[in-house]
Amino acid sequence: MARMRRSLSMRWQRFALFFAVMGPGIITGAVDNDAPGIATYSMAGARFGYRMLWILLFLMITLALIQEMTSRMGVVTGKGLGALIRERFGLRTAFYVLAALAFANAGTTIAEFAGIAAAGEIFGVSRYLTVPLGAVFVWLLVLRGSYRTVERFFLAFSLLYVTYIVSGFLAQPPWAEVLREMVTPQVSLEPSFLLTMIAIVGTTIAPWMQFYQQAAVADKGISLKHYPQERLDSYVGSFVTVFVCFFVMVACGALLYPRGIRVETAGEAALALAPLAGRYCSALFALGLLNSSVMGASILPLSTAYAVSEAFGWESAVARPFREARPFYYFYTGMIVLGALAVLVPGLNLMQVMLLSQAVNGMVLPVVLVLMLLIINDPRVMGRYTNPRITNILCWAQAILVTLATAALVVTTFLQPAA
Amino acid sequence: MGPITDIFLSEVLGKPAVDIGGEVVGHVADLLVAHVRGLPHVIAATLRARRGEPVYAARSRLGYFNRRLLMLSDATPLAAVPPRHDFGARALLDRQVVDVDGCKVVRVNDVLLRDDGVDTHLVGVDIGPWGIARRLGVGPLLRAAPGLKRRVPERIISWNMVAVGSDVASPVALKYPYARLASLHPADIAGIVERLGAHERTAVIEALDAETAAEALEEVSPHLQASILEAVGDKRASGILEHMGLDEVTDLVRRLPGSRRQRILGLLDGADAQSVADLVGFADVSAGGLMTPECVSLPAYLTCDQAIAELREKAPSADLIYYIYVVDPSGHLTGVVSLRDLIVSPPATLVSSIAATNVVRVEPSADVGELADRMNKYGLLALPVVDDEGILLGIVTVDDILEHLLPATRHRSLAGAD
Repeated sequence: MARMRRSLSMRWQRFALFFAVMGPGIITGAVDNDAPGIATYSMAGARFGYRMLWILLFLMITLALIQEMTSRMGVVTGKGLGALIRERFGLRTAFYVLAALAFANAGTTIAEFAGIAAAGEIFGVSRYLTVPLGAVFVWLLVLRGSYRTVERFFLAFSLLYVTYIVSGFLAQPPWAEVLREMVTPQVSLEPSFLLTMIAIVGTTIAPWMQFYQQAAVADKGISLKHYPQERLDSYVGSFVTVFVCFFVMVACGALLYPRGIRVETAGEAALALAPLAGRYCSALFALGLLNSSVMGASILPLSTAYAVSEAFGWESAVARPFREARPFYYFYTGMIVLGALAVLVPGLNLMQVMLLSQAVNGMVLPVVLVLMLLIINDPRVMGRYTNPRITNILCWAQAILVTLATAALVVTTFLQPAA
Repeated sequence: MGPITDIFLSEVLGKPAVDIGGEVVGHVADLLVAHVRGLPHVIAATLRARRGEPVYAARSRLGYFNRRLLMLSDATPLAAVPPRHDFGARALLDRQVVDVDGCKVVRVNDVLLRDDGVDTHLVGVDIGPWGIARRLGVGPLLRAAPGLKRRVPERIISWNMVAVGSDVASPVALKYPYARLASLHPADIAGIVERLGAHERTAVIEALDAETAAEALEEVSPHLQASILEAVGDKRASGILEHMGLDEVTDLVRRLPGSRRQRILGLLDGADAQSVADLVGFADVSAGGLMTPECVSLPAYLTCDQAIAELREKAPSADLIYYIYVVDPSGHLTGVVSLRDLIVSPPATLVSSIAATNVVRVEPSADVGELADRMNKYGLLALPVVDDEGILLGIVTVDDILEHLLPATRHRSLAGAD
């Protein structure tokens, strides 16, 4: 009897350990493949074939470095990124950065609700039904404190994207060409190419991820002695993100690009799953899209309200009564209402909204990155845990490249208003 | 003494300092403050000229001090080295401090100064929306909006109610950072600790005596407990652990991965480490996992008087001593006496004669629901836990059960697995 109890308890512990390993990094990485993410990768693959694959290797390394930095800051200081920016650069800078973050996150939230709408429409359900329902669901989910419980289910369901990997293989892409494109950087000054490129960067390395992961790490109170596990967690999370992204682009590149399908609707994006699911591809795609959209629509408003509240010194606990954390609740509710309402505007191209919101993220990213680099290299904040030189070089290079690409986008759009 | 004026630090910073000739000698970069007793007072203003090193104007030389400018009252050259001071008021801006009165962690938006024409004191910190508006330069604009000023109140905490962390200023001013927190309830301290940054929360625990620190830590989430214990150093950590209940320590150890467990166990003294290691084997939400071995047990042959004497002598560290369990020499649970019975019975009465022998007991495998049912049914505050042979292992108290029955919303958490 006692032995049986012991073995049960052992099994439980192993189970618990598995989830303990799923740290903030892996969760962030999984949420990163959200509705606008999948939409952007699909559009990139459909429109430019394998020509953008080279960005992915570069992205994976940069993402891993950045997420490692942000979680190191969380471990060492026990504070969120918003708070550190305020303490280091003052209220004014923090205000502008957080305003930009809120703007970009509001865009992403709209995109998440667009994802809910698109998924519903594949099943023939009107967005005027799915979106308000989704908004209420998400709002209750987080405010009732049950988000943490269902998070595991979301994560399990995000395994639906494994179907892209299978599809990618079934589509029998010319692997030699795929590999060659992966290591051959090419840039076109065509605005749509630049826009898509920035959108890929913006969706993969979105500013909300740094704020979210750092807050999650700080919240867990991880000690410095156990930092190595945390670092691995960031690396694995980054790999997961880019791995899925690669197969989405390959599947779309192999199946949609040759047929000239531009992915204007979610139904077209679903065609990339046809080799695996045949005529059920739409349903499969819609389920995956719905899951990741609801997950994103929960996390984005939450992490924005959290970052803003922390920086301005407001109570930010979800479990606090309304009276004590009023600004937090207003902010959180406001983002959800805005996100849901924006999608209900008649005649909106949902896929286009998702792409644009990611481009805005791409523009906010360099600012956040530069501030992060300044903070993490400040020994007064980080003690002896400042950046190694190689990380600094790579991250500064990334910040400069993204800035250049953004500038190029603005300039080319300005020069060719027709495009 | 002149008229009393209230000025905010943000209104002074960046304003020009003018000498008696009307010449601008620099702009205010900071106010240096000395803190002997009572309220800190401004002893000098740091002035920064467009180029060159900063200069320092003593408070006594500032004839006029208001929102628009500082006026110097004589023409002697300004000091190139700062006078002795404790901290610069500017260092307070944007920091996390503790509002001792409201038991909350807040962020400083602005600093309130009170000037009587001779002295300028630091009287409070602004933590409200008006402070933010002033810092962003839109304060006057918003103030002009009708009704807004009435609807949104100023939020200022008196300096006497502010506990400043260790990172703000020189060690002189803050010899005992956070010492003001010691007067709070441990549960409130725990709430504050959870909201502070890593350096600050370690500083809080270091500022408390071991017993208060232990009580506060018991209320903090296990991962945070472990991080703090690792940060305060081994000696201090074992002092704190000694004051924590064994059930709490077990709870802490159980939720940690192997390497961290060994470390915490290593800080306990031998017997305690053994008990904790044993307890860890039980499932988290069973009677075995929830129980504490610290309970009061006595042999049946004592008289009530002897029993009370024994209690007094052993001064048990158990949380709950209302139930006294009667055990035979080999540790089997044979009965229970309430403290009340023990006290009201004639001194010579044998414990065995007043003990109830049909003791409600549970096995270590009993789950929370079962425990709650039993406690509810029999109206008990604690249940004894016995093994297969009926040997008393410990007790589960009602507060440990309550924690598991309430909805899981108590801890603020953004993400990640616990």
